[in-house]
Amino acid sequence: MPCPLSLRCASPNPPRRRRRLAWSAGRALRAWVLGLACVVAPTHAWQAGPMAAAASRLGAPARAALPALQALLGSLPRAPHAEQLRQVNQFFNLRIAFRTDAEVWARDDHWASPLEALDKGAGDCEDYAIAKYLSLISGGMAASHLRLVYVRARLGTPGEPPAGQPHMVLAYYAQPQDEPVILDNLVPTIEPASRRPDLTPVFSFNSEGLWQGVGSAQAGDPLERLTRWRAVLLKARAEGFL
Amino acid sequence: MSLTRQATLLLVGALWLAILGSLGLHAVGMQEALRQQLEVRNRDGASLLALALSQQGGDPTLMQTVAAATFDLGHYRRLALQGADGRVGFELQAGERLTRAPRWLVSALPIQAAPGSAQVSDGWREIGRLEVSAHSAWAYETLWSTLQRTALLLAVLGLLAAAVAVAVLRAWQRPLDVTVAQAQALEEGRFVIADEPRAPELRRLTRSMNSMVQRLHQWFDAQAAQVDALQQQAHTDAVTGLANRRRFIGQLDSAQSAAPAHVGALLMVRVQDLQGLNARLGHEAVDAVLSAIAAALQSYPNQVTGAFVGRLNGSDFALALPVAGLADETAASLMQALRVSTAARAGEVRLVIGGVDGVGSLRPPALLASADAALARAEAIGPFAVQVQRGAADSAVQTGSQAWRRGIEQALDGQRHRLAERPVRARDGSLLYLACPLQLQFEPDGEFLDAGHWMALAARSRLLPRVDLAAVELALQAIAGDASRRCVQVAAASLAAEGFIEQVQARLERQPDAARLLVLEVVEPAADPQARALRDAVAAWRGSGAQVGIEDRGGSLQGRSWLQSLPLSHVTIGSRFVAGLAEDGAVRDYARGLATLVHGLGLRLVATDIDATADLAALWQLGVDGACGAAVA
Repeated sequence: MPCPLSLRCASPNPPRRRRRLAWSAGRALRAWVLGLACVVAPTHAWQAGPMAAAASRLGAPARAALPALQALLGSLPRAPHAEQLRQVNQFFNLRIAFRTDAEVWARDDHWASPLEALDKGAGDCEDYAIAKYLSLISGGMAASHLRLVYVRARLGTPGEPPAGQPHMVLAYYAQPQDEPVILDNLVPTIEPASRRPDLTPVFSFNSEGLWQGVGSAQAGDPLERLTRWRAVLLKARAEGFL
Repeated sequence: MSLTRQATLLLVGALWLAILGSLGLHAVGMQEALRQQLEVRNRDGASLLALALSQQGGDPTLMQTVAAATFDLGHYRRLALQGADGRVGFELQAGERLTRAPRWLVSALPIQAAPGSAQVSDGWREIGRLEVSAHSAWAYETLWSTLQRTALLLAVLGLLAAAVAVAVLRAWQRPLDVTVAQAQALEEGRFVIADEPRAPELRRLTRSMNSMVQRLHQWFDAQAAQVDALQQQAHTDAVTGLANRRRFIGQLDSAQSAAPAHVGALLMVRVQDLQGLNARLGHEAVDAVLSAIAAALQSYPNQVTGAFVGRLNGSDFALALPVAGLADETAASLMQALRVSTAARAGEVRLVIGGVDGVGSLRPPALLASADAALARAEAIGPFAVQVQRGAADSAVQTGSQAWRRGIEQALDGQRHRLAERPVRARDGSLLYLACPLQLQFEPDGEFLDAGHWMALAARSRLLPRVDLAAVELALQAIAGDASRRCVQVAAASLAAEGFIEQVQARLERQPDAARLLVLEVVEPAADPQARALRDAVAAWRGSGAQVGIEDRGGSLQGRSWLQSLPLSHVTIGSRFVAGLAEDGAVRDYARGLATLVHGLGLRLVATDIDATADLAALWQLGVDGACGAAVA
């Protein structure tokens, strides 16, 4: 994690604010780097090379799914948002089977990157949501449109608590104050939130404000690996997403 | 700047650098760690509070209450909610909490963590963005206290390291000092061997200097041996191997000047009509006879310590005995022995013996004259006659020694003494110093008598230390008067007297300016035990500013290795060793050898009592540095 001093030195013209000097400088740096990325980075926000390398490291299913994934990602930038949502939703709903982490990863909770989920061919609700989110972001959609939402889902299964069971979905906001549409693995179609009374939102988040650029300075930071969300973002970046 | 000081400065600089560097690194590391901590707290705080606010159903009041509760009960500096439309929902800020950490620390090592941010939503609707900043005051205090502790620890370690280093440096200093001292000694003309230090570099240096000194020792030994041989040559009779006249008289003189005087009686043996004998028997036979006589005489020094013999001229032999009263029996038995040894050769050898029993204070010339007279009387009587004369002075001395002693003491007490002044000049005529022998006046208004008259008696009465001390005092007074360099003689026996060296030193220190112009000449410290006293005397008197020389009374040079290691100013040699060197090649060789030896040690050679101008000229040619006597102006 670069220390405030080096941020001050690195950024060309930090805006002079009293106490938020370092934070503002960091923002400026990120903007600068992002701008640089737009100039020097390839025209699409995902990178084929790292993706292929990561896929080959993972296994045969990942390698097999790779062409379709890359075709999907390639088709996203030109399509309108609604079409993007539909394509991505369908792609992952069909290729990933709904299993618990214990079954797939022999662990209590594991947030898989898109390639990992495709490789296993199975995942739980976070894996769906993350994979769809990352694909849409890589396709060029702004993060302000998308939110990952912790919800309580009333599936109606026997023994389920009255409030529902924990679940995660991806919500798309055409405008910030609008009602969102939900991309879910429980339901094959994309429905507006009002048409999903079985879901009660608890908390939402996305990767806004977190580093989205091409810089690799944060890769070695141990703090980043300690948070599940940031860890999976790191993994995704290593795979060429973002 | 000295090496030691450079090393010390280097060490101090390095230690300072290490301490400051560690402290700086520590400070920066801590700053970073604390910043990370704060940042994690900010992020986590933001996530938790956003989650809590998201459960309030979008009610602003409820949200503010929750935020206020969090703010009041936690360590937060700022909580702010920014609405989705960009306007600030609410903002809670803490005042600048003073930390106990000093202001310079806060500005030098700012701990600025990025605020945490999270999204607040109500159901599906986004309300806004929450920013959380935790307080950093405690971080500065942690930083400050840790830095203080670290600085203290480093200071203690630094002091320890410095102490160890100083000790090591001092340990290095010692062998260095020893080496430097040896070099300085060499510069001063003192050739000493030093112990080899352990450090390899210094050891090599000391070893080379030691080998140089050893080479000089070897040269000295060789040269001394050579000079001794030359002296033998100059002072030995070729045919018989006995001392020649010059040497015998010299031995007589030094024996009489010793304390107590070593000459009690003198016997002379004469071979009558040596020329006729030569004509009749031939040189070889006569040489054989002479050798036989010499052998018979030599038995006395072998049996009696303190006796010595010599061949005075072609026909005359002399035997000096240490104690008086036995001369009659000795002369009789000697005549018997001689008759026996010479009868075998030829009945033609005629001998007479004459002598003086009881030498008293007769100087060699008078003594020899007395013995000669006795010899003449014996010759008048006939061959194989023995004539021993009682020394008139002896009985006077026996009864008068007390009187002499009293006389000397009274002269000293009554200040009836003075210093004669004999100039010692260099070749170019400049004055080196004034040699000042002490003269005593026994009768008030009487003559001032030279040391020749009373020195032996003073020695026997153990009054030499008093006499020498008086001479030193007089010399210091005289120097204070005219600022002229002076030299006084000090007997070797005085050095051995208790407290003498300290008393002289006290006098010197009382008048330091005069002391610097005083030269103290120690007379022939021969045997080694006295060399220790000489060493002490030289150290003490030189320390007070005076200079020290020695007078050579003809002893063997080989035993005098201390000549090489003491910082002396000059060596004086009396005329009886170098007189006649203008004509006698052997004496000239001896004088040249002695001059080479003395100059090789970096000392000056001075000759005294030089009365013949030819001798003086020859001495200048040999490179003698100073001379005194009738021939010198």
